[in-house]
Amino acid sequence: MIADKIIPSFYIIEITGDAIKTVIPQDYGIHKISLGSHDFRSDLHANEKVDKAINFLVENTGGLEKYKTLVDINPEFLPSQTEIVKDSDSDEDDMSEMVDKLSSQLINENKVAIAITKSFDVLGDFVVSRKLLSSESSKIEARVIANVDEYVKIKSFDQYQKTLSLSQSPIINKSKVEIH
Amino acid sequence: MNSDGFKYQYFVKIFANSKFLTESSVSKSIEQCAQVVLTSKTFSNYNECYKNLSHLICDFTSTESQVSGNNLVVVTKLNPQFGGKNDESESWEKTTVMRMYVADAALIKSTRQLVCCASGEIKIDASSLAFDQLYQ
Repeated sequence: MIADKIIPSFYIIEITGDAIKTVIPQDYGIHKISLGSHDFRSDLHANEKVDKAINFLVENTGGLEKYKTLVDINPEFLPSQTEIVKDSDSDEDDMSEMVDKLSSQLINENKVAIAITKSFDVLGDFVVSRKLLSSESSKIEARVIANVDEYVKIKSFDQYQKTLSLSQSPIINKSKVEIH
Repeated sequence: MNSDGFKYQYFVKIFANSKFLTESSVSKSIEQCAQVVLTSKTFSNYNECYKNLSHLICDFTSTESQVSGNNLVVVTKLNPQFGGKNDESESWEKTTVMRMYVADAALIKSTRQLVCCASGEIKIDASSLAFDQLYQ
């Protein structure tokens, strides 16, 4: 389960409008600034730095009261802090069934399948949270993203365990999990 | 390339080895930033796009040189398709017109490699190209 793991995470912040001048004060005809960080120890550490960066950008462009703020948290990472609204239970169940079926076919080759749905964010399932601040003249969009390699490793290990328990196959060398 | 009906955009990348990301006032508030990508608005005139990019790169180079104490230079390369010199180390997309690199002159001399702290390029906006112009 992803939610109970500590995964190194990084941030991506995209800035458009007047807030650009906070980073590059001169006018060079810049439309958008994208900032990407190094990995932090966890999503909480990355989130702390995102808040600091957002605070800096907002304070220099009229203050938080000028901005409308939207915060989304991926329920896969923080199930206790989000209201889980499932649009279509059957779609999710179908996907899970397909992944289990494919994994049971692959398990003898030490392989499993994992689903990439992009259901929370267009960038991918590894997006932990998203903050969107918009005013009349500026837009700041920040994402905290789990290290993609670590995310895929945890997901594939979880699926491997699940498939093993479902298939009652003989124990296979767990160090050789491959991803399909 | 002036008023040729195409639209142009520049893109600049500032890398983690630049002083801008480690020692500027911005870096104290936007911490542990590894890379900055600047995307320009769309210009309907190449000269205007080039002027903005070169001003940005020159100002950046001058500030970086002052802070780092290194002798930074701007290396410019033009796509051979538009008259630039053929250089095997550089691959070009059809829509890329030119590139600029901010690099340490001493490092270029000693390593014979272009280790840069920022780079920029001008691209033709693909939406302003006809389909056959993109693939011919």
